[in-house]
Amino acid sequence: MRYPEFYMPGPGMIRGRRPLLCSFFTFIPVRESPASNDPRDRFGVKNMKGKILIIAGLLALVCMVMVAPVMASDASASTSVSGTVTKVVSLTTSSGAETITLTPGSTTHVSTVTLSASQNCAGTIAAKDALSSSKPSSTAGYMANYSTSSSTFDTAISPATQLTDKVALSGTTSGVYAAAAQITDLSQTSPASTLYTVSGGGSNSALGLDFSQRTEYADSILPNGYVYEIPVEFDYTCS
Amino acid sequence: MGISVYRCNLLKTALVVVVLLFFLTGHVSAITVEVTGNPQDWVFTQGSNENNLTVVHVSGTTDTWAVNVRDALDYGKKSSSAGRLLEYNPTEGNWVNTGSILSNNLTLVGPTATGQGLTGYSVALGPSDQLLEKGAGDQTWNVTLNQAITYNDPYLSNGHIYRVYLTLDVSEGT
Repeated sequence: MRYPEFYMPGPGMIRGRRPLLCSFFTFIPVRESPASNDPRDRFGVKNMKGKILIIAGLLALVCMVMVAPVMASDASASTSVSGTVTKVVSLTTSSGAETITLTPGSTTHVSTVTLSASQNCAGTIAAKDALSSSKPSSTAGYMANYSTSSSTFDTAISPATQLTDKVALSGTTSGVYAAAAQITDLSQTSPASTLYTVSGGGSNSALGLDFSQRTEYADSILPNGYVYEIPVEFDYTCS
Repeated sequence: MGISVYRCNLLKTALVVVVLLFFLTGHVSAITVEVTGNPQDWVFTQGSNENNLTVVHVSGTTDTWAVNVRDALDYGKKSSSAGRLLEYNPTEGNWVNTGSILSNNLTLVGPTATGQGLTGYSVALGPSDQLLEKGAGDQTWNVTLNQAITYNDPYLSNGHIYRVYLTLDVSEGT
């Protein structure tokens, strides 16, 4: 057998490396193979492969120890979050009741009342005569005589029970609130007349309202304790 | 040459061993992160909505770690909705890409517990990793979710819901 030149004694690098390996291997228990007793195996060639494998393994372990803290060991998790938004619609008026003076032969406008709207759905705002407080259906759309003492409508008094002309109402376009055509008949209930078309969610605390009332000379002056009044109801309907 | 063949074989063997060990140690990650208790039927009302049902469990390590969170735009979620809940059709199981997106990003807040070695951060969810929590060793902690709702967040009348997927990435040794 020809010995590898690597283990032959000689000058230079090979001679210098050998003692280093030997000194290192003194800490490694390696079972001597019979072949290592071969007198020709001056440098333990037969064990050398095993020893180098061991040192390679140790080197790998060193790599692991050194590299592991530096490397980021990553893991991931994924999950979902789901929910629904509750429907919210809010409508309020700035005034519960507005007192105006009606002048025969003219049209009186009232723009001091505003509408506050908040919603998270597109839809429409409609307006109609609420016919509340015992207001007769025959007076729908009209201002009718109202007893301030009993807080109800009183159609029994003579001569007039309601004004000649109906109340008209219009809005003012603002943002998602598009004013519809002026409502000239608040008696419509199925469906109620559209005041605003709302294109989406939003909020406006001062939507313009314009009530107008034409007064005729034929419209009677009411006795004390009575006024002409109409209760107006606003409804928001999501589309 | 004999020396070349022998030396080459040894080097090959050593190299294979080193590479195998390197990959075994480098690619088998011990650290894990689990998420449980997430809201699936969260009812949002106007204003601030808070939920702390989400539980994160980091395990398999004694080292320090950091957890980042992102909206990975899973399942084709459109990029313009990154960090925000997007309309989702639960019947068909897909995003409604022409649908509504909540106005505000989902916010996540990790807890800070000095005694427990946890440091939390507030994160407005986005498409990139953002640090949510730092700690060490095995830890279980709750994430607080915040979702602000305005009137501009549409009510969905078609049975659809709003949804976002959270991806939590944990890195060890940071």
